Amino acid sequence: MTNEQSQPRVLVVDDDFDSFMYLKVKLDGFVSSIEHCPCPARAIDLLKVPAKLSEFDLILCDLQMPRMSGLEFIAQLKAFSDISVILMTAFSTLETAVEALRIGADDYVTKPLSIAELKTTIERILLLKKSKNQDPSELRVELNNKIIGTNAEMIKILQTIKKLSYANVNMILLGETGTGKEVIAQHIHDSGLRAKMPFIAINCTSIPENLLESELFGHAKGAFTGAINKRKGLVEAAAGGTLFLDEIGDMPMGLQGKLLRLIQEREFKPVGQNQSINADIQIIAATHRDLKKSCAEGNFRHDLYYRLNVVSLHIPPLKKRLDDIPLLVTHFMKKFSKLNRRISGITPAAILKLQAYEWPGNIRELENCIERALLLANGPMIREDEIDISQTEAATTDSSASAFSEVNSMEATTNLFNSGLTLHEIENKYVEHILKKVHGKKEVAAKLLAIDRKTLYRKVQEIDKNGLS
Amino acid sequence: MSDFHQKPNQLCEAPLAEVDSILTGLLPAFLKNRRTNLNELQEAFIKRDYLKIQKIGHILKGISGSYGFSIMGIYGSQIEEAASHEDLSGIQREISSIKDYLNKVQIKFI
Repeated sequence: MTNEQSQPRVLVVDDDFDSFMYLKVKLDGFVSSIEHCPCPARAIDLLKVPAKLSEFDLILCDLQMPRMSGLEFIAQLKAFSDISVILMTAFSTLETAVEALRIGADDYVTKPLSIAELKTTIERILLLKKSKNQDPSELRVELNNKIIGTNAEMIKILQTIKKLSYANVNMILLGETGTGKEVIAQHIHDSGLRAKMPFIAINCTSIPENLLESELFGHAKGAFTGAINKRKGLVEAAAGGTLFLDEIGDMPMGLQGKLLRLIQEREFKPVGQNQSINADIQIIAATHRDLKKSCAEGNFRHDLYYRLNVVSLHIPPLKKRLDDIPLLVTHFMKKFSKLNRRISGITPAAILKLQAYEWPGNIRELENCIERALLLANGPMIREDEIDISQTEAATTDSSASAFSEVNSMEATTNLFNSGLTLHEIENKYVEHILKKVHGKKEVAAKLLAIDRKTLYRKVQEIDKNGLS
Repeated sequence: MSDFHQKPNQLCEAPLAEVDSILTGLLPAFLKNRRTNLNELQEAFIKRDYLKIQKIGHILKGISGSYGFSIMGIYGSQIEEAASHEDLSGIQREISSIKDYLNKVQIKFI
């Protein structure tokens, strides 16, 4: 689109003249011009002429055409031009539409055409085109502000997000646990047209299977025992915005079918309700699993996989972005600065130690490691010997792990429960254990135990008196 | 009632197509082209040209709903499906339905 024009110039490549006439009439006033080429091969020849190519801002292309399919047309076109293309397709060929996105189409619309949807799609594409021309250095600033780091792979991901920010397509984020998939999902939401609408995140493994459906779709009054009132689900809460489904690879099969219906039909039924509710949401899913493998093993629906996998982003593990560790450490030190105000930095040797580690628990593990180091360091700098990496892996296998979770290992807890101690004795034992862990630093222990120092002193006196251990 | 709510293949009453009045000028050509499609379907049926039938079915499926002729879109989808399975009786039934529909359809401009 030229600067003088605010409306796009469109070329329709479709062998059906009635389809073109329909678009011409319905888009009147929305586009500045609309031309027709019924033959895709002819359109390629025309568009190879730079002067002709520059006459258009956007191409609307049908999928099924004689002699050359829409897919072939897009592939040939994208070989010499980055002009925006929207594919028009029937529902039954949606998988092909997804393929079209992979080979370079900017978006697709389904037939019969909804003109409102088409106009929104065109607007998105045009906004996208504007953002493509942005200075790449802006991406780096954004990366530093929100996602922390300057790693080349992460910058590529940010660039892709920027390109897709107005595409409103379903996405799937793939990556190991702790790589920051939710942070990226939030960033995708904040960068798009839905930014001012809700962003709702749910971890599919955090809610028991029998409650997940009600949590997602809501329920009618009396739908099941205990459903004393009608309750809205997260899908409804996310209306107009984004629903982030973390660990989708662990979603029960039954619910996968309902999610598929939500994506395909854009509607859902709350538990115990016959009437469907329309849902206008963007879905971003994430998983650490290999979904293709899950599909092959029959644990994940193929159709749902293809619906979600319109765009997939592979978030690198921390071991592949070790160059980002200094920035991440600085970020976490700021975040936890209240824990130990005597600490003003970290020594280069400590950074080298952090960079030499593999970080199986990724950024979450690093965060826990820095939090613990801040609690235990004497200051003013975190030293190499105050970085205790040996304790971090166990602390990060659970998504809710924190800096002091190693003192809560299941095995230790079970042993404690089997020891025949009273609740009071177990409490004192735990206090003693924490004190040992923090080398007797009562201020730190009190913070970890979430009690005030007076209470801790009283408990210590009691332990000393009774000689518990 | 929009024609979408009527069951295909059971047109006891005259089907109603609710057409956006902005498309009024396009309607004669649209209907003429659909009658041409019907003739092409009948010829292709005689020649057992399943690919041609599939293609026309796909066109009907894609365009009819946009113009307000949703039932014809359903027939298009069904005939495309029948042709993909070389289901002669299914094709014949859908051709008959399309013919019946085009003869009876009443248009309401909205």
